[in-house]
Amino acid sequence: MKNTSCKTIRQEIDNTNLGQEPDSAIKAHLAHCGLCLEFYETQRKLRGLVGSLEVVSAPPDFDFRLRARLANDRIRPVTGLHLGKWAVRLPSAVAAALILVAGVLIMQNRSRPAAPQEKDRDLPVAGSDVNTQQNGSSSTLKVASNPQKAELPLEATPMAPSKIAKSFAPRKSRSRLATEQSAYVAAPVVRRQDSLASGELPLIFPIQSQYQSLRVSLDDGSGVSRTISLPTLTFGSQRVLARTGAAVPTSTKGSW
Amino acid sequence: MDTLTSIDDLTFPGSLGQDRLDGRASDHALLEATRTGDEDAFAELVGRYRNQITNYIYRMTSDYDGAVDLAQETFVRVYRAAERYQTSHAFSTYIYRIATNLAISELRKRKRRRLVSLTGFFQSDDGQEAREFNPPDQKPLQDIELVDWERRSAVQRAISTLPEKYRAPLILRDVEGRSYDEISRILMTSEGTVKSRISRARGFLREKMRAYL
Repeated sequence: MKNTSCKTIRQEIDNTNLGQEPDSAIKAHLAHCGLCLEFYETQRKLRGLVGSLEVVSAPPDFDFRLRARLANDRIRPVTGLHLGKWAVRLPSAVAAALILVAGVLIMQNRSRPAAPQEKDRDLPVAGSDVNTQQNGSSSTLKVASNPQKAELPLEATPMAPSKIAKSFAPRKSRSRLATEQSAYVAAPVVRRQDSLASGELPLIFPIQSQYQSLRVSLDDGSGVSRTISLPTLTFGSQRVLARTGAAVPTSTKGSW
Repeated sequence: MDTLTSIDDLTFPGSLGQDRLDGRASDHALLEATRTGDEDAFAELVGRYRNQITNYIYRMTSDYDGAVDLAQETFVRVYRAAERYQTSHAFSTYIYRIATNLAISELRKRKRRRLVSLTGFFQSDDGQEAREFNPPDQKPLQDIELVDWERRSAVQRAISTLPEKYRAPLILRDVEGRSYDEISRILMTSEGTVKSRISRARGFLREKMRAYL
């Protein structure tokens, strides 16, 4: 009972405001309870100590710095999303994703075998808009990865430019890249004329010499252009030289 | 009971005083003006609360420069969220809530960065949270001026060793002089919990400050 009473009294002492006199019930208890009186005195001193801590003021340039900070926020508006620590990381993640996508596209374009349609065809300069109609009948080269499949084409099969444009059209989430534009000029498809129904798969197949190497012209933006000559991938094929006996030369002028 | 002779007799000691009586409406009016782009109104609001907020965050974090930065961050957040502010709460409650959250976040960041103390840790009696062991100062008292300064420093050190959930209500009550009701609204917890935590915090302080009491 006594402990309950002391506990209640101490709670009451705790809840009184600093400087406020205790009520008569507390005073009566304190008069005959030494422990509670000691608690009351200790509590009073402690709260006096804590309450006597001097008020720390803001520095004189607080307003100035705050204004500068708010002005800076107006220049670089903060998005409605409170991303917190992710606000710095999100743009970096988006940039990394874009770079990754660009890298994948570059890898795809390089792995696609190129066969030129006509001699000395100029490919679009990087950064310029591409008009698929300029290329006329564009075509694609397909090389089967699985030889058992009867899909080794040897003859050029023209594809509609719209299909090519669609297949190479950048997705909405991707940015325009120079490599995509070069893919508009597709390599010719080489299909086998002979039927493969017999199941015989030649180890080699001829590629007409008129299919010259793919030439890519790049502009570094400062007016300097370079031409890269990419040889046709043969994968076991054999160049069939023309009767003139002259090998198809690959011009090295202006190329790396 | 003495009769009231002036409106000043209604002021609360050691607090905002007269400002609190009519400041509620004025704070709302200033914030309303801030929404419409009145920067002077916001500057007035900053002038009213910058010292209190800086002091409060300093008492929470024991780092003056950090407290100034966090106080600025508090006002920046108030400014950005001015349109969403609801007048159902007192502005002081609102701004102290933001300041409390920022201070507690800072303390938690420090805790993650802090090296483990070789003196070990004490578990609190309820076993819920650990706090660093800091034995009471047993040095003898010296010159009175130094004693006074040392006593205040010891109080601040003792407060800085309290867990956040005890530190905030203690500072709001014993340093800022706020009522239990306001503290419960700032911390978004019940009044009973506030009283319990304050009582516990004072118990911790009594242990550490035994030499000064």
